[in-house]
Formats: sequence, C-alpha cells, structure tokens
Amino acid sequence: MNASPAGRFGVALDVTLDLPLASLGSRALAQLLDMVLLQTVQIAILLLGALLAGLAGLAAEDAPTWVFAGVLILMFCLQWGWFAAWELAWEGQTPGKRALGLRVVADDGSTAGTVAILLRNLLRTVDFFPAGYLLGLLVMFFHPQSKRVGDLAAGTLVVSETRAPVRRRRWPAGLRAPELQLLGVWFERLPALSPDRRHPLASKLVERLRGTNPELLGGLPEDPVEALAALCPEEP
Amino acid sequence: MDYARFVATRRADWDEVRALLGAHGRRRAHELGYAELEGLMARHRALVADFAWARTHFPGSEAEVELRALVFAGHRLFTPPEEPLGARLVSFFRVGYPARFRASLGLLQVALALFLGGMLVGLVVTTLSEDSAALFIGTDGVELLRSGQIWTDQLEETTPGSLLAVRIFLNNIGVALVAWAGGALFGLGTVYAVTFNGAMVGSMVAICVRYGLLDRLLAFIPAHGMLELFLITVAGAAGLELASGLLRPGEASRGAAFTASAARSVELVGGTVPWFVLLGLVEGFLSPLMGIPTPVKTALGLTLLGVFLVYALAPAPRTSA
Repeated sequence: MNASPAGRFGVALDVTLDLPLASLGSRALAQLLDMVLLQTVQIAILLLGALLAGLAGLAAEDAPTWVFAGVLILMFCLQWGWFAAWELAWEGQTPGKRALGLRVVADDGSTAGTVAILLRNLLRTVDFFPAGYLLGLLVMFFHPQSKRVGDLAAGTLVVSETRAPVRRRRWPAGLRAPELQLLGVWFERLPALSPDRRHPLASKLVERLRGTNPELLGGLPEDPVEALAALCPEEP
Repeated sequence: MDYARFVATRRADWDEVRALLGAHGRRRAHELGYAELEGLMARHRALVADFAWARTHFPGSEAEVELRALVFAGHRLFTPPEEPLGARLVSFFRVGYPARFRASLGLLQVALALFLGGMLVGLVVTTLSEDSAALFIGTDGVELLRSGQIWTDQLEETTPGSLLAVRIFLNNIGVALVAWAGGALFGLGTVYAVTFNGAMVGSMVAICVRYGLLDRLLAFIPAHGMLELFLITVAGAAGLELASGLLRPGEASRGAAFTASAARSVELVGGTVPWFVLLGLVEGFLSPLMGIPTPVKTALGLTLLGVFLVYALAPAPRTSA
C-alpha cells in the first residue's frame, strides 16, 4: 500500500503483520513528554523530601540525613530506571509513548522481555553520547528500522500502533478496492480537513464514483460532502 | 467477496475477539485455562485470516486498519510468559551470576591489565610531573593534598555515615554502569573509563607519597577499596563483553552478535550492584573511623574480596533435577 518502513512479524498461518515504525519525530516528542514528566516527579520528590526532612529534624537530630539518603536513592533510581519501569509495567509503553501511540516490541513483534527493556534503557547513556542524543539520533537516522543503540543491543523495535477507527460505518455493496481505500482515507481525514477544502475533494470523489459505481449515487443529497456521509452512514 | 458483505458477515466475530482481548486486559495468555486459551487462539487465527484477506483485497480500508490492530494485540497476548521477577533474581544470584563471571575471566584479565596499566601511568606521570595530577584528580583535589590534608580527615565529623554511604554507592554504581555502557562505542568508552579510573588511583598514590599522606590514605582505603576497584574492573570486563559482539561477531551477523553479547554483559555488570551497596556502607560507616587500626581494615577488605571471589568462582551448586 505505502512504502513507509515497517516492522514485519510472522503471526499465525504464515501471515506477516506489518506495523509502521515509529518516526524519529514522534519518538523524540514522546521522549520530551517523558522527560518533562520525570523532572516534574523529581522536583516533587525534592520538595517532599525537604518538607519531610524538616519534620524529621523536629523528632530526632540525625533523622534528616536518613531522609536525604532516601531522596538520593530515589533520584538515582528515577534517573536510571524511569523509562524501564514504565515499559515493564505498560508492556513497552511510557506515558509519552502511549500519548503518541508508540510501543516497544521485540524484533518478532512479541512483548519485549525484562532483560531487553533493561538493556535498551540502561544504554541510553550511549545514545546520549556525546550530548543531546546525538549518537542515538544518527544511528536511528541511518538504521533501516530506526533503531537506536539501545534497540540494537536489546533486539527491540518501536512501532506505531494503528488505532482502530472510533466510529464504524455501514458500507454499501459493490465498492472495489481503490474506491474503498479512497473513502477510507476520506473519512479518516475528514475531521482534520478545513471546511473550504472538504467540498472540492468530496466532489472529486463523487465524480469518480459516478464513473465506477453510478448505481450507488441515486437519491443522495446534492452536496458532495453530505452525499458521501449518506453513502456510508455511521453506525450507532 | 464484496467488501460490504465481508464486513457484514465477519464484524460480529471481530467484536467478540476484541471483547475477549479487552477482558483479558493485562493478564497474559498463560493465566488463562487451557480451553479458554485454545478458544482464543482459534479465534485469533480466524482474525489473522480475515486480516490477510482484507489486506489483499481491500488495502487501506477501515476493516484492514481495525484488523491490523486486533491481530497485533492478540500476537502480543500470546508472548511466552517470563517467570516471576523474584524467582528469576534468586536464581540469577545463586547460579546465573557466578556462571557468567566464570565465563568472563578472559575479558576480566584484559580489564585488570587496563586498570593496572592506567594506574602505572598515573603513578609514573604524576611522580615525574606533579602538576599532571590535576588531569586525573582535579585542581581542587591536588590543592587539598598539597596543603597536607586528605579529604578523609574531616569525613568522620563533617558527613553523617548514612549520607556518605548512599552517595558513595550510588556514585560507584553510576561509574560501573557508564564504564559498561561505553562498550557500545566499540569498546572505546570502556577502555577509557577503566584506564582513567586506574590513572586516578595511581596519581592519587603518587601525590600522597610526595606529601607524606600515604599512611593516612592507607588508613582509609583498605576496608572497601580492594573489592571496589576490582568490581570496577568487572564492570569494565562487562563493557568489553558488550563490545565483543561488535568487534568479533564470529559466524553470526554483527547485529545478532551484538544483541547476544549485550544480554551477557548486562548480567555481568548487573550482578555487581548489591556488592557496591555493601561496600558503600563499609566506606561510609567504617572506613572514616580512624580508631580502627589499619591491619584490621586490611583484613576486612581482604575478607570482602575473598568472599566475592569464592562466591563468583565456586563450582555451580548441583541442581536438584
């Protein structure tokens, strides 16, 4: 259908499942979201720790140092384990990845194992080398499956999960593959199209259907946008 | 078959599988009963067949998109289960780590050679030119030592043991992880980290000799230092192991060899973590106590090193099977 790079996994019956790979941009954005969340949590822990240490100081003189020690341990674990913990808990997703519909999977499309998740996240230091994820971005840019160093080591991929359409439609009989695809893309993109662009595109589609499936167009509204909606009505 | 008919006849099935997958949610397939699992797999196979049909005959259609998501969700659900984390950790530290350690002795020798070589370089260079110590231990560190003081002097009074211990073991774990991860740069990062750590130690010793601080350094280091430095070289060996897949892939492809060597190497470095915690506690609470005579500290340090070596080198316990 399209030539965008995809992860290919054998599923049952010798069928290959093809899932689009996460693009560099969406992965960077997911990373940014996760980092913002991580730093928010870290700041919250520091503030809570300071508060707790103050309270502990009233109870016993050396109690605050234990609070500080605990805060240090927590910060270290967050630093090294934030991404891995989410990916283990959410089967390959972090909050940022979930927001963007990305998921880490093993090379065969199965859920990535614990060791793989740890590896790909502990090796972030290398992807970060020498600064600002430079090495990771370069490796991802040149790798055919957009892997960073951590993914290479762990044998993992980041795929973009296709999401099922929210509303289903009732399709008329007699449509052939090219028109089905056009209509599918039309309804998928309709909410994002500005009103002044809907009309010309819809009339082109109707024009095409007039050539391929003239029997379907009888009794439909005059306006092409409404005609298409009436042709494939949403199911309740 | 016409698309409308395809969707109309099959959609009820898709909804059922979706409901089943949703109901299982975060439960993995192994938690299902046999009949339940067999039924779900049969339904998933039917779904896969529908997906293949839709992709061939109706590419880009709504049904294809929907089926792709469902097939993927099912595929992930059938991922073979892992044992519970606790059980795996126990067996790792009982059997897995010693076996991994014994298999890495060759690389460990290389790492030790790098460390000792770095130490020698630091020692010689700093003895020849005192200013070079700033390269290894920083100008502040050198200034402090020059003024006849050693950072261990006030440690007992200034920093509480708890905080000191935590800071030390977190720092050491970080150093070990970075030394290991540097192996992914074709080993260069690891070689640098291990050699540099050796040079730091050598340089420090040279400066302490020069300013008559050696006895005080030796009063601080021996309880924790021996095993600690040894474990840093173990992390270095793990980094070399990580690099080995890239440098010497053997008959496998470089990518496959790297994935395999990475999994081995993370075990080798991961097993050092609890030991670093233990050593941090020793360094934070015992080492600063100047009341403990140096021979006692040395004996403790040798014991710690010995316990680790016996643990890591002893023959594997017989499995009951």
